[in-house]
Amino acid sequence: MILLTVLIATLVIAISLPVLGQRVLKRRIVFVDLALAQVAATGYALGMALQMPGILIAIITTAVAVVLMALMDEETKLPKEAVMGAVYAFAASLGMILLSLLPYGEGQLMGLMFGSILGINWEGIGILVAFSAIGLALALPPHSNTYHGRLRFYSGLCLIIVPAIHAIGVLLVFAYLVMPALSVWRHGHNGPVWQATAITAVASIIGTLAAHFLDLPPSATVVLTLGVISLITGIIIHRKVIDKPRSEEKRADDEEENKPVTPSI
Amino acid sequence: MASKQTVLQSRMLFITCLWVLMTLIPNQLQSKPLVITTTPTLGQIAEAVGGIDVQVHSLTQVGQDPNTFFPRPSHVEKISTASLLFSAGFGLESTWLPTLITLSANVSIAPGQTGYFSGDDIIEAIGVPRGMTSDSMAQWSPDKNPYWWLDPELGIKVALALAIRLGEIDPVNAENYRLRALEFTTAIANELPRWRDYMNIHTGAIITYHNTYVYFMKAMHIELAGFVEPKSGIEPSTRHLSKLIDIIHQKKVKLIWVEPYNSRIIARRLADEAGIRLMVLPDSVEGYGSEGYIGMFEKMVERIARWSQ
Repeated sequence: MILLTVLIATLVIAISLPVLGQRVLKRRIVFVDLALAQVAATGYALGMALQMPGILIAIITTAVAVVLMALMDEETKLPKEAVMGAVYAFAASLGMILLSLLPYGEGQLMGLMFGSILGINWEGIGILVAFSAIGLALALPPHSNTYHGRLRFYSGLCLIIVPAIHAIGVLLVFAYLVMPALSVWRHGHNGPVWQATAITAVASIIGTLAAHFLDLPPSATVVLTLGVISLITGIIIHRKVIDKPRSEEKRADDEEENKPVTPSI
Repeated sequence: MASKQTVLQSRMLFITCLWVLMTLIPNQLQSKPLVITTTPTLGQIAEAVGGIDVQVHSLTQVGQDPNTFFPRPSHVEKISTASLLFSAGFGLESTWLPTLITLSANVSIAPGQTGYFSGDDIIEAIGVPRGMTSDSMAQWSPDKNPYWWLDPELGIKVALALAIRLGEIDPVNAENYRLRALEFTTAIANELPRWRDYMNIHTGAIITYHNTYVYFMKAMHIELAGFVEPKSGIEPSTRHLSKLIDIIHQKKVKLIWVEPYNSRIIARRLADEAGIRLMVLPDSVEGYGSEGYIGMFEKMVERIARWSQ
């Protein structure tokens, strides 16, 4: 039964994360998931330090982070990855200081904010599906580069990523977000969504079963399988993309050669 | 005039007495050897043996994982004045203690010196406990298990050795240390049969998250059915968890024990799937000296008995 819940959970995120990853990759904000997860974890630690409900403070701090991130224009000249990295480093350091004051909270905090795919049950899968559906409904529709548009996108992103990291762990979420989107990337743009989703679904099934029969850690095995499949697919797509313009170029050259010479007047 | 001189003289005498007192009291305090321990339970053993003749300070607190401790500048300052550094050994503090010793510039507490006292110099790691599966045995490294203080008999052994070492550092109080170590031995020896009887009545085979409680289980004659995470920090496989569920049903395991500082997600999922209970078991409690150390076993035994109902 644990094998089945692991398999279903990986398939659920195989549907929601690659398509979201394409949006993230396009905006070049890959570290946004780590930054948001860390802000949530720090918020939880802050709640424990203040002897208040950790989940409530985690929601408030993450909402504040989303509101502030939405202030950043998508066409900003600031390197967005550096901003996300800075948010992550700041939140992680604050969390570490809070943890040093809370010796009892370490295990509880790590368990609540950074889950494991092995720990998910049917109820957890249900929550993951619900948050993914709401998050995709907010993040996927095209939006203008306005404050409200960006707020909607970051809110959707947050609603998918934070519960996913809580449920299945940061390793799988980061890999599912980035690897398939990178694999089908072509001509500096996102490739078809179905390709990214198919790669992830195949990797989820092969990786989970391989981990079970070879007695290996499931998260790392699934990520490795996804990495290998993404790499192979990426090379095939890349070669096709290179060959296609070459053949088009050759055809154009041939047409030029066969063109009848018109006498100059 | 004479009375003025008398008042002046008495004032001078008072100030001199005050100065003598002020200089004597801190010296008295400073003359006590400072024992720094890496965990609170080791601190309780040191307090039990050292009593009023030593000052004891633990670097980590109750509930804190000594594997992942982040020392602060105040810890360096504290350790720089220590007469004795008391560690569990067996690699428990290997990621942070050597750096702390180097930074302290206190050569007397470096490994090999009289001021360095480690559990792995005194005791040997236990063998593979009864009831373990062959898979678990292959993954278990007995020579690396540092949680020896959870075996009260090993606590006694280390306390007796500690009394000798403290006697070398502070020969004036050597006899006091020896007597206190004997008192500590008697106090534990009186309680141990009762704890064992209690555990024999209330527990069957047990699954634990890591190998933390293996010493305790050996001391209390409790059968170990397996570990949720056999290699610390490495996620177990789904196959391993399926095998554990089979073992739980075969051996009628009733409880999974988890340390306070470890994540409970996987253990809880396993417990739910197998229909058994998950309990957090302390590996240290608040308290002074032998009362604190004995109190830890009392709390563990009481909690296990209650949860096994």
